[in-house]
Amino acid sequence: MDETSDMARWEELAWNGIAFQKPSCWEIATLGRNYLMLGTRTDPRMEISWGSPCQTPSRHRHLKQLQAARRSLGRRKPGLSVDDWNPPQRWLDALPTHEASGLSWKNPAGNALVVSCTSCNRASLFQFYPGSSEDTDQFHVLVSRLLSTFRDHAENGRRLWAVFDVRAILPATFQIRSYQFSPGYMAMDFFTKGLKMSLYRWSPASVLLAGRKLPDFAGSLPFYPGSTSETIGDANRMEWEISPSCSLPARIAAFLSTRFLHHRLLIRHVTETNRILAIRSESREPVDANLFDQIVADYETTAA
Amino acid sequence: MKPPQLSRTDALCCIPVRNPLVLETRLDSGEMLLSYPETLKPWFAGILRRMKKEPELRRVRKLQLDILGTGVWERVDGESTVMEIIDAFAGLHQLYHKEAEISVIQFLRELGRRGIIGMKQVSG
Repeated sequence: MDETSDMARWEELAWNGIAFQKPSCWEIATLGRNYLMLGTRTDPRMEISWGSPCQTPSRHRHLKQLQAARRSLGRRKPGLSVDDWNPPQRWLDALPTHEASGLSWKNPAGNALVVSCTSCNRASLFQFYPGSSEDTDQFHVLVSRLLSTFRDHAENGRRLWAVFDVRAILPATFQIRSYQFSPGYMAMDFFTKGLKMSLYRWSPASVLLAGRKLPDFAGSLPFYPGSTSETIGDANRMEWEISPSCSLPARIAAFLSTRFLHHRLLIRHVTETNRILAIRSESREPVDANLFDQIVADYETTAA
Repeated sequence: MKPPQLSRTDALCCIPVRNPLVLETRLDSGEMLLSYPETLKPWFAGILRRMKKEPELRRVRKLQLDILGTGVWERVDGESTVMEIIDAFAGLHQLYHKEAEISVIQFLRELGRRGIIGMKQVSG
């Protein structure tokens, strides 16, 4: 992949409260709960770490965040001299609703930007690494474009999750509890009050389903609900729903139990992208069908 | 002396080369079965040399590749670089590039550990 020609293609990245657009050739190299490192095939290009939104804005908060960022950079890059730095005006113009301050260092050269949102008071630390042969002005244009797409709070109560080739929209109240991204398998577990929602993705489907059908694949999953559950669907889509009976003793048992007793699972084979996607809910009360269907509709993979 | 460490770019531009002693057998399933002489640990090879044991005494080991591994093995032709193999693998299975990269590199590393392939560094 040629990086220069691929700079024209941009794609959205959204993870645990923050979202921005990036050149498609900048791939996720490291992913943490509140941390991302992006790089080309050969070099790191940017890092971002971020905190939680804060209810109480403070005039001194931004300064404290700047000091914390400086300490953090000093710890992570020992021996590096970090200096104050005035970011280019176009970077600042790209972040009209944020307070921003800059830091810089040399050998290898890099720039950091501490931004705090005036709306949600979330602080984020960007670090950018220009390529050794890259034109500075071109790099500043690229960064300002990226910053202009930066969002650090949910809109309309819904939050986008878009990493690697999966994309999902969930209510903003859903918090990520655990995640796994390995070759061939991705899983993300989200929790909100009394409800756990898990998103899965397998690939390549053509290999996983070679010589067998989707029900056979589903049957091999550790959370397969078993043969007693109801099965609905066509060749590329299966769905199960398990709920305890509505009798009074069962409802009392369900009320007293600490386990999630209502389960719903949907698996589909997306032939266009050669992926298998699954959405699984576990809850104390029956999951809201509209909510489940909306999450199913919004969960997708992008073509490689 | 330790060999100089390769940069990431250099490593991706290396060309995997098959060990000529490796025999391949295609199974009915389409998967490949590789037979290769066991690579001895240097310290153990030293002991064998002192005991004047012949190299023919080395055991032949077998490795059955799955369909994905077979696809990568077929791309190890002594001409394609690691990067080209990754691209071909990603394209063939519609994989996300990073996912293909991790899979192929892990696989090639495992083949290298077993002495099934070596890496030829491309100068320039």
